[in-house]
Amino acid sequence: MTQFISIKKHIKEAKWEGIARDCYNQFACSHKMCRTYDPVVLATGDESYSAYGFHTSVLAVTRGLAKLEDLLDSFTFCLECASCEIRCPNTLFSGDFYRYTTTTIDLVRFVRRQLYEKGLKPRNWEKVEASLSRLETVKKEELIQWSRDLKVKRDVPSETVLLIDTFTATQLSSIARDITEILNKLGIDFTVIEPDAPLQQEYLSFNVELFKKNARNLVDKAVKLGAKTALIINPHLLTLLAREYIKYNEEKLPFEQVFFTDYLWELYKKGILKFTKEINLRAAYHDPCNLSKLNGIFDSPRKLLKSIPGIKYVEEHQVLQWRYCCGFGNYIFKNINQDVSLRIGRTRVENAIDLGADALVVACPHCMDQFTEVIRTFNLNIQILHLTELILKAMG
Amino acid sequence: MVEKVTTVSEYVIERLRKIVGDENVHVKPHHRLLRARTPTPFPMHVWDQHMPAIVVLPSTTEEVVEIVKLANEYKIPIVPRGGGTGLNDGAVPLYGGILVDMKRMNKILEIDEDNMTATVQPGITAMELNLVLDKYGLWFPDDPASYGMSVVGGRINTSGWSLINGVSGHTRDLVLNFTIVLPTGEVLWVGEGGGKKIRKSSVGYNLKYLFFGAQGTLGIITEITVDLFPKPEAELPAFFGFRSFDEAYKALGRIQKIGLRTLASVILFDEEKVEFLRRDDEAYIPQPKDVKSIIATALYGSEVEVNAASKKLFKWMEESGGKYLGEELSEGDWASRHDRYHIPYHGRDGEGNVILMSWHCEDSGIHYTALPYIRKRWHEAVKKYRDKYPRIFDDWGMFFYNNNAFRPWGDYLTEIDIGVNEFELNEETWNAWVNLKREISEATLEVGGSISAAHGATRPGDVELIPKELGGQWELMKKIKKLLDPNNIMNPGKYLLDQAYR
Repeated sequence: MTQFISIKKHIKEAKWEGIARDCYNQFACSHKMCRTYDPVVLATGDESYSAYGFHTSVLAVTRGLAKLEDLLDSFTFCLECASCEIRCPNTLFSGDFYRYTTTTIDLVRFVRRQLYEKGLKPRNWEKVEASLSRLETVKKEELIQWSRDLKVKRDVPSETVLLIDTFTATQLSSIARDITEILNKLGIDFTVIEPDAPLQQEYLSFNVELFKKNARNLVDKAVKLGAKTALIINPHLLTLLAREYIKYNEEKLPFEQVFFTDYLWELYKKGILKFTKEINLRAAYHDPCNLSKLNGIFDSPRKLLKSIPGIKYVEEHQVLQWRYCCGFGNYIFKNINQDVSLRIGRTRVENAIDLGADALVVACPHCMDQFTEVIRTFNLNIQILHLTELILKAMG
Repeated sequence: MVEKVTTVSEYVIERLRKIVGDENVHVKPHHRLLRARTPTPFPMHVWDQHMPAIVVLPSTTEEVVEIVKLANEYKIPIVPRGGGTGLNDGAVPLYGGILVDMKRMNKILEIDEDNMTATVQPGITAMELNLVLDKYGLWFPDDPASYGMSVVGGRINTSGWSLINGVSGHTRDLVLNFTIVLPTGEVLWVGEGGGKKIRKSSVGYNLKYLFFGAQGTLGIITEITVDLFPKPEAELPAFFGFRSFDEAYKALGRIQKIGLRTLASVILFDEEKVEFLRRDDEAYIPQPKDVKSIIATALYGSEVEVNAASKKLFKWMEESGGKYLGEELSEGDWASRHDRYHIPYHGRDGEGNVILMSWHCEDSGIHYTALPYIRKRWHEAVKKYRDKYPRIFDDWGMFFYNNNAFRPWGDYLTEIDIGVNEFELNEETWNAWVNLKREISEATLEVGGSISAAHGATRPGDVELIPKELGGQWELMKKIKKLLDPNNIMNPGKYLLDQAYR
């Protein structure tokens, strides 16, 4: 993990003077690289929804030239994908020296919270609530249903815990099943944890206390089982634990969090994971924002994919993919801006089709879900496959 | 006289919505305020005075025509805005009105591999175009510092300057023709004669260049055909250190006479610039202390040409006292050339404390023999104002870039970088800035230079000197403006062109 995690006190403590100076740094920017790399701006052509736009809007509020209330709908257009943060020259050149980085996502969430506290909800908010509610009302038996015929341990102490988030457990359970089978085949001793209550990034936009509570509960649950390593399959959960937990719960995680591709690649290098079955496929790989841009993991998924016999791998460099996103972002972006969301996804899938790929391989359940919807909506001829499915098949 | 329009009627808003669609019309202040500035020093204390009344984002020539006709009907000022990255204020509304944000018009309409042209909408960046051209082995070699963000339409309107002009010229040399919506709403195709893929014609007046540097005062460009180059096989940046500015300056004079066709770029860093880089640029790779001045060069071309040219270049540089600074600096610094034109937090107040300042750059076109004098005058001017306002201004040194397209000799884009604490500007310090700027430009005219080689000259401090620089051309400019824009709706207030209507 090499990414910077700026914790800006002025945002955290709502100190407007500090926020104004922070925002000014974007307003004065000659580059506006954020615009060139932002999937939303690329889809809409509207820089209002760039890091430059967001920071400038807030600066205008601090100067009394715009009303906070006016930002309500504009601030739903952030994917929270971080392309603007890592491509910003402020981050690139000031990050090392001053530990000062651009933190658009934190700013956007801060503004959303301010608005929510005033009782203001953007258009289509009921759709966001409906999606969250679906996850929040999942019953325990539904949550563990995915593993009904698999050999898994729960509530049994183990140094390795497999964290299955609520979305994956209930809506894309094949991924949870595949990773479990992979680990079982490899003879790994692990125990499964599903959160008692979903840990959602959307909470950071309107209810930080709920985020903190649910995060705390999940972490406590793992600690009680003696976890030293938490194995994660949802990049969004990885971000929440690896980056946001320290910011909001103000403590380091008491265990190591490892994404499944990093974990499996280590086993492959040691000769423990072996691929014996050929899969004949021309495959491109999609970097999930939460994996590549937010957590710096882009190598291990590629290496695993390239190691599978029969795969003809079509490379799209991870830096070029900073401009890509599946278009989901989170339920706030997706449910409020459905049309833009699908357009972003379509562009990304068409890039893979242009490369002649038979399949676009993903390592994120939300990308999987979104791309599946995109190819159905626009009738695009390509397979969307999760990396766990290919790994399991290749293991024979 | 056109009047300032700070609000537009519901009727006009509805008409605009019908033209471009609801989601492409912005009336809320935050959307308008973020399109009120360019990266040139901006009077933060009167930000709202530069706010347009409404923002629209068209996607076709037809939509632009409808917008312009509507503006004419109601005498509403129009400001076309491309990337908004210009170091001038062409895209800043002075009279409010309708801001036409062109960045939605970013499509590639045609790539003609055989005739080596591309036809694009004006809102596309060179980077975006090159990402696609790469697949064809082709290249659009317009290379400003704002390579990834400035758009082709804006490059025409600012008469853009390209860093690698020694091999591929400037924007004016790379654009073959374009379609423009004139201030009356009439659509005009402008190019070399009548041929859409012709680089040079002798038929009629050459009107193409009229629109270069127009700063949005003569219409809105909606379609552009550009020249393409084969992607160069080799790119070799080589930086050389010198013990003084004088030594580097003499070396620059010698390099002018080598006549290398692959010499794309020659940049001289003066002593103040090297000192600033040592002090406050984290991206700068430290050099031995005896390096006081630098000449950066870049060779572009086929491998065989660049290999041969590099031998000659290195020999001449060494004979002139230059010391090659190694691959790490040369390649690293060259690679980051598009990333380093805005670095806040690097200013120093009079006591050396780090304070928040933004990078600002003043440029002129200066011939070789006048460079040392201009360097002296400009540093003196900045010092005078820094001594008086040590928290507001800082001297970040000077660059001298080859300016003569395809022939890297003769005259130079001369640039002084000034840290400005824009965040704390008030009326007094803003006026101080304008006066400083004017002193810089006056020195330029004194030696027979041009106020700007790259950015344009519409800002206070520059603009009042336009009649002095242009003489009789200025009178003709006013006549042309009035002829093409009878109602003065197209970016009014720029270049003092309001005088044409008095």
